[in-house]
Amino acid sequence: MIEDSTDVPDSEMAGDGKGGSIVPGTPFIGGLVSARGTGDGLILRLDGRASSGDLQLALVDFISSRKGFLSGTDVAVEWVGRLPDAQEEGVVRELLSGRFGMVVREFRSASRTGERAEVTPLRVGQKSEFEADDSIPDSELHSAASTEAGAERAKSWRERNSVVGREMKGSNTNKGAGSSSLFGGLELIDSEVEEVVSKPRSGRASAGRGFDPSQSMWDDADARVIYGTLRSGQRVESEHTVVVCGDVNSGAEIIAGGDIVVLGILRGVAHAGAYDETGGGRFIFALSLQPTQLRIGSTITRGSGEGSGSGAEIARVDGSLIVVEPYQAKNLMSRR
Amino acid sequence: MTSANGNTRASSNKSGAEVIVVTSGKGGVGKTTTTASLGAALALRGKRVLVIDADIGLRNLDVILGLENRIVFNLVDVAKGLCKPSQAVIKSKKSNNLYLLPASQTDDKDVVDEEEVRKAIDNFRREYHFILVDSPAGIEQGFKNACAGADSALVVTTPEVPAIRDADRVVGLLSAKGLEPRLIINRLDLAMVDRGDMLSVPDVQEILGIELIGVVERDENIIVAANCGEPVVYNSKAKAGAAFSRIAARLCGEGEPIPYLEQQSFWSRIGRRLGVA
Repeated sequence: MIEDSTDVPDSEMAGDGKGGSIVPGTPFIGGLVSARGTGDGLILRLDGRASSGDLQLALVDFISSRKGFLSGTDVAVEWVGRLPDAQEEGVVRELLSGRFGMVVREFRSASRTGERAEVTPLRVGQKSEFEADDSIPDSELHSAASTEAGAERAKSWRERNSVVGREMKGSNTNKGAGSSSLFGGLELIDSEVEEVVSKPRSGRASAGRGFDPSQSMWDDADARVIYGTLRSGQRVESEHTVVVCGDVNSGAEIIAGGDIVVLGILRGVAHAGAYDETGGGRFIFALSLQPTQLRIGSTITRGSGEGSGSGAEIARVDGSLIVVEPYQAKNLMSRR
Repeated sequence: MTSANGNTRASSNKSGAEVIVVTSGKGGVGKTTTTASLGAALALRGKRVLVIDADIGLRNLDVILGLENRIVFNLVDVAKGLCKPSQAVIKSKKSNNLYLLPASQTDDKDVVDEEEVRKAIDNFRREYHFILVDSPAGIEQGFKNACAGADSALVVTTPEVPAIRDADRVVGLLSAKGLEPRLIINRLDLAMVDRGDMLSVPDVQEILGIELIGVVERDENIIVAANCGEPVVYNSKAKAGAAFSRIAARLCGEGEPIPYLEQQSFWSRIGRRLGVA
């Protein structure tokens, strides 16, 4: 499906009749709530700089995924950036006690002066600035069972709120295997790209399979063909091969379980073999390869930022690197 | 061509105003200057024009036109039915054909929604040839409000990579709304293009690929005009003024072709410098 943050029904979007519903984008709300334990008991920390709608959503999600641990406890609620007004206090109290049986001991300000800060919604990709150093790490709050439920809920959250802008899934920390971040791994990576290993999308190990390397010819009946140029902010995701008859502009993304073929200039981000750690022998082809990033399986490479060499090129994994070479049809199948 | 809300773009005088939203994605590239200048230029050609400031909370169109002391009612008042539509409209200082519907400065962009803005604009369709809507920067509610009720769009960009990236995003969103956008390239500096320090018009077109309706060269007179509250088209010596006049002519279907299209591409220059291409 092509994701775009407009509320235009599918029938009006170019070329796609089978995508999921497209809904307006909302800011990233994953970092708005955290919890920590102290000598006095549990403290919930809320980022008061977000809008109260977003905050309530985040709160419900946060507690729901940790119900076993948190429900029925009493808790102090700390606000970053400002103090809540009486109405908001009431709403949060209601929400916590009504849904989760939690009792609020007190509301207090996390900032020193407690002054009111301007409430601006967080922009996508911006991590909430507060990360309490003594927060309870997700790995302890999640039981194995809730991770599954969490992933399911993350999927439906994503369907309700398509995330605008660039999201990069990655895990460059040493979290335990049972702890995936609540919203399906939406984390902005700040570190140098070379140090990050992009984790392939979870839960779809069979995607893009069916290709037998011993064959010299193969017909993929599920391949997607997009006619037209992908503009900045547009995204195509498929478990199979994707062909774009047009350009892929900078800021656009293609995520394919199979191969990626761009009959035009590739300037955006392309991820082939996205559901397979090894990349499954997949390739990325473009008439002119000038990408922001290329990813095959779990290997990433940056674009060089200059114009490409002349002529069509194809990128594949060779060992632990992505290698780009001039395209030659006869090499296509023999090199898989 | 019919847009999403059913108005045909080509008709202007006969069945009501042609409503055009001026947008960009990126801030500071010249949307408000373009709206004011095109409004003034169209008025000079004898068209009745209403310019609407849809940048609620950060209004600027009134300042560019020098009308800030004459504001009593604004777009939000009209949308909420707090005043008669004609009470909110302000005649410009230098022309009997140019009118302004200002934005509110004390609200923010979420105070009205698309339906309210569309209905507010409907009040004016029969009285004007052109209605130009000055959109705020961004792609959120303010942008959506500005697009409500529009028949077509003008996308303004400067020949710089960040601006082009944002413009590309906006072009995608506008196409999805059924508003076919046309492009204005603002602040082109020919000397820089020649030196290879700036993207040329063909470079921009290679990425955006939409119909180009005009190019405005960088001109100090624009800054002077903004501070004086007098659109640059009234300055007969200003290059930018002449450029906006030509764009206005094209909007009326009477324009000449754009002269900037034969410049050499920026990328091939860079390639030569690095010994690659």
